[in-house]
Amino acid sequence: MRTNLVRPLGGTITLFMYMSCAAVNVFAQAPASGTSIAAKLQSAGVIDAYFPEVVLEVATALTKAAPEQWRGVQVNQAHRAGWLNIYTIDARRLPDDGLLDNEGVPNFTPDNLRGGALAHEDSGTIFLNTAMSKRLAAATSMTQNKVQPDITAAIATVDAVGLDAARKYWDPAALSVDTPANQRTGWLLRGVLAFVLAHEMGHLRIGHAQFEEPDRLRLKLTPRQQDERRACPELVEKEARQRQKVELAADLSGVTLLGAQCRIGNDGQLRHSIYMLGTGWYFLASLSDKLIEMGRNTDSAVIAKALRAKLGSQLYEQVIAAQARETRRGAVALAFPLSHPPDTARMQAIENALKSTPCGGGGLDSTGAQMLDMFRAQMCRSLISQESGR
Amino acid sequence: MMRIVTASLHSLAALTLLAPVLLLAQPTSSSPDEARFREIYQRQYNAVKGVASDMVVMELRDRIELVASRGSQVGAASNDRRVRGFESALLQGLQAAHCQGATATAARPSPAVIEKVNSAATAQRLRTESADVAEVSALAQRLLDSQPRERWCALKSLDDIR
Repeated sequence: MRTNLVRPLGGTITLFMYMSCAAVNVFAQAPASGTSIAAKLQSAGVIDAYFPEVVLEVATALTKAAPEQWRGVQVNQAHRAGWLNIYTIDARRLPDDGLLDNEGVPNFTPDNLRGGALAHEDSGTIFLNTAMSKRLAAATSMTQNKVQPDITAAIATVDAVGLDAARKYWDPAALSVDTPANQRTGWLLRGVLAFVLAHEMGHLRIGHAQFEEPDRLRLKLTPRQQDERRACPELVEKEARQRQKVELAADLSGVTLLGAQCRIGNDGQLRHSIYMLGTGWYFLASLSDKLIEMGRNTDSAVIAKALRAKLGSQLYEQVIAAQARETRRGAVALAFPLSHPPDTARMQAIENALKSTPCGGGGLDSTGAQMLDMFRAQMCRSLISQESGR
Repeated sequence: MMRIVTASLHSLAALTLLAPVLLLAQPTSSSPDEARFREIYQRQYNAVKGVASDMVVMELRDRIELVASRGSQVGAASNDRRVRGFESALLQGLQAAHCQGATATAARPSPAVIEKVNSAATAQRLRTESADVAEVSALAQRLLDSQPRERWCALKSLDDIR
């Protein structure tokens, strides 16, 4: 049985073009007041209608889990208060200065959209960076077509050749051809999109949350310990801990949207399964990104060996060795970013929260996360107990 | 397929186990409250008093990374390039200000240091808030104070500060 969920990602090119044209028409008629975000995006030429119908479909399904929150969903349309406003933009086309500074959206730059998506709480807007969507689409397609079966290697390959050269792997027309590989690619990417949107919708739901945190501990650390301390909350900046809590809260708010999908509509069970699959795929890609960055920033022979085995020698040389940092400050900090909880901790928290939702656990295995946390706690205890502080 | 994703997640998680202002320079209608700026500056300046210089560098990097990563994003992207760009621009700016004959001002916060912090932030398109500039200026001042002038002027990178 085929439903609209199991068709290859994309739908028809006709619909795709219709959505693009519809967006242009609405912008032309948009009043200046509440729609300056849309108008500016349009005039700057950064709107990129990459599978807008899929974005609309997934976002609409998620809003049904919180019907009191939004009156509706729109993609690449003039901004409407009370609605979930989503814009798909190619961040590579953004100017380096903040395009939406005057609209109250700070940091709207190519650099700040590399995370893939950005929510603006005050206007109820989500921006999806299509450059990152295409990157993951290409890498996913490569894995499903066995061009590059390992996701880390596939991502590295896309980065090595560049997005334009990898076009045949993310092109809507190519992905819309009905093949088993495209179907699997479609499921995975729909699921990833569901998690990304659910997280950003979580930000919109919780608003500007605030968390109080104590000041950091300051110790005398060796360069290696300076890298390691990033895994220890006590040793990082207060703002980092506050922001990690906000991100975790957004994840958990998003979980309530994801975890209700099995009860929404006749295809709810299937949709829920796809969204859970994609959530795992999102973190797999995220861990891959970090692993590649770690390889460039560490002298660890163990990591080098593991990456070489994963990527193959040629790709390793191209993506890791050739782009290695002159001064390698260590790999731990990259696995423990200041702005977000580590991926493994997020997965663990998400899986735990999913268990309390109507649809139950998502099958995200957090055994590895538990083991990582044990090692992390042990390392932090050792760092803090050395009593070589100021 | 879920089993494949889970197995891959396991494998990646295991791998990670192995790795153990422009606000002041640009007077605007919402220019920062000077008293609050001074208070934040002073608090940070005192907080790192006696802290080893390389640890102050580490704090400075953390602060810049936090500035660079602001926003409600779904995932963390590496800002290493911008952090390195900032510290390089800051070092060059401070060397230009302090190593070419001019005598360092005793004023705290030093307008010259604030200006260089703002310039470095602009160069990396970092959107700093007044509190960020105050904290980073305090950290930069501590670094300046910690190094003899000849040594500071010979630095190639903040990595060389020990």
